[in-house]
Amino acid sequence: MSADSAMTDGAPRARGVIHDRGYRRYEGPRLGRVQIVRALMWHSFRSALGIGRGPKAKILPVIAFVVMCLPAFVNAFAVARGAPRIVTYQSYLFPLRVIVLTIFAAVQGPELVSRDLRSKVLPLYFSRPMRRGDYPLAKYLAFAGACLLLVELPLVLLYLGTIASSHSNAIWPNTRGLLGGLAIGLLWAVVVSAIGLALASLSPRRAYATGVVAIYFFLTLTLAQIIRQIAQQGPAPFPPPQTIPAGARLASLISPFTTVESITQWFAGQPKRFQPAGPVPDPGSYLPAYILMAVVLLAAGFAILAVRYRKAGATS
Amino acid sequence: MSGIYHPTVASITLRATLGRKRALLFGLPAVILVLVTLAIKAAHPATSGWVSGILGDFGFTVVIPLTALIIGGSVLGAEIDDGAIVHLLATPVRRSTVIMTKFVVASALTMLLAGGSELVSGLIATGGATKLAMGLFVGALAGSVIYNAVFIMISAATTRAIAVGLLYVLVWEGLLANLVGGVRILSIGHYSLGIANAIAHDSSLHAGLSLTTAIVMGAVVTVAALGVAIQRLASFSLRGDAL
Repeated sequence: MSADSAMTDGAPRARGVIHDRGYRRYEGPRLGRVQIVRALMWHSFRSALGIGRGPKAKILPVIAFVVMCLPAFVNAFAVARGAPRIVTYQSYLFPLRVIVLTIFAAVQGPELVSRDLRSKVLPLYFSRPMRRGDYPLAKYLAFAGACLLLVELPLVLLYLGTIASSHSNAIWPNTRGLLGGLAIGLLWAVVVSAIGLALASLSPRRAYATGVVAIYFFLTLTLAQIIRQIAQQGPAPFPPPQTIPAGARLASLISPFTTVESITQWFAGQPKRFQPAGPVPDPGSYLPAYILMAVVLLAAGFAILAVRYRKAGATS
Repeated sequence: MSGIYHPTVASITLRATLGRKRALLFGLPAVILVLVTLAIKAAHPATSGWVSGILGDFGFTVVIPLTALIIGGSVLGAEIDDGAIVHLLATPVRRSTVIMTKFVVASALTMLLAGGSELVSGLIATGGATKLAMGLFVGALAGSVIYNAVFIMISAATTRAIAVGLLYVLVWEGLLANLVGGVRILSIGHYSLGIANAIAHDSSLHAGLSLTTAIVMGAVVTVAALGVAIQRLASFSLRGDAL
């Protein structure tokens, strides 16, 4: 309309002129890169937990948190009745934590990255003063934060429940246990979210991204456990540490979950008074291999994310 | 054409499923199963108990369900996801035919990949066409069929088929079926093991069901799942992406 009037006004050379139509301009402060990353991170963190989304998106995070926290409540009741603490701070309940984290990573990870790839909104993000690496960084921090909450919240509840309902005054051992558990929980969240988010970002379709993450976590975990059992000749509970063959000690390297858990078992120390048998054997002198593996997993996750988002959005 | 199998639908499904990069994903668990078998065989373990551990436990609780999940969840789920299903439903093909055709294609693909890798691994592990290898192969074929029926039902019934199916595989098949004995009667993994054990007669498979129970329950689950899937597709209405 305005272009037409400009033409008919007898000024054919003024093509493509941008008319000032008197719209009000934005003259406030323009927030920079840091604030963009922070906003994206906060938004992603909320959507990983289903906050600010429809009721359907809340189902899975809510179930994950409820199931994860359940043992802490059961424990509080048991302790109130005079029983010793039934859940450890270091491993919590390993099978439960592994299953919940697998499902959470497989379903919520793609939620964070696949949708943006699928709906091709990445060019919009990158048209802001935001660098290529900032997007995956923000997504990673958000997802790691959500996983951290999922791992640590039950531990804190476990601590509070034990302290509140315990008859004996055992605050200090519990606090020490909690701090150790929180530290190892950080390792869990950092490693699992890095590899989970990297795998999720490979496919723009949410269903396949979920499949990739689930296959990786579930398959490697089962494989690690079965190979350990084979190396130990049978699914018996662990014999004393000195009789564990090298194969059984190394089998846990296959899965990120058992890798982290092995490091935990090493730090938990040899005398296991609370636990008759850990979910994985103490790696013993193979600890460096496990630490290396955790670093490799972390680095691989970051590398995949960095490479993926160097060109993502431009192609698919 | 009013039969239960429609060749055009089948060829479209096959092309849509295998024609993309994601087809590599389908074969991944199968390839890993063979590689692991080779690796363990090369390490010469002391006893032969590992065969049922890898092929029975790992194969039947991970490789077959995950392969079936991705294939079964995508033959119908991918079309529902991108809305292409309306073009198929607008054609005068019966919806029961659509479901049955997709079920046949998905089962055949899963049999080929998961069953094939069970067979190859079984032959490698036991060193020939032994009873154990054959039993595991037949059990894997049965499992492929039943799992696919369930996953097609899930993808007809929900918008997030892979996530729901994953939950089922991990929690029900992976955790409950091995912890709670009563769940076995409703566990596809145990149907497959029961069928495998009827041929192999190997106690290390930990089969909890007899052959008759396994076959009857497996057939009931398959028919029921396909019935529900047809029902759901018959009353299908296109919904948006879950927000």
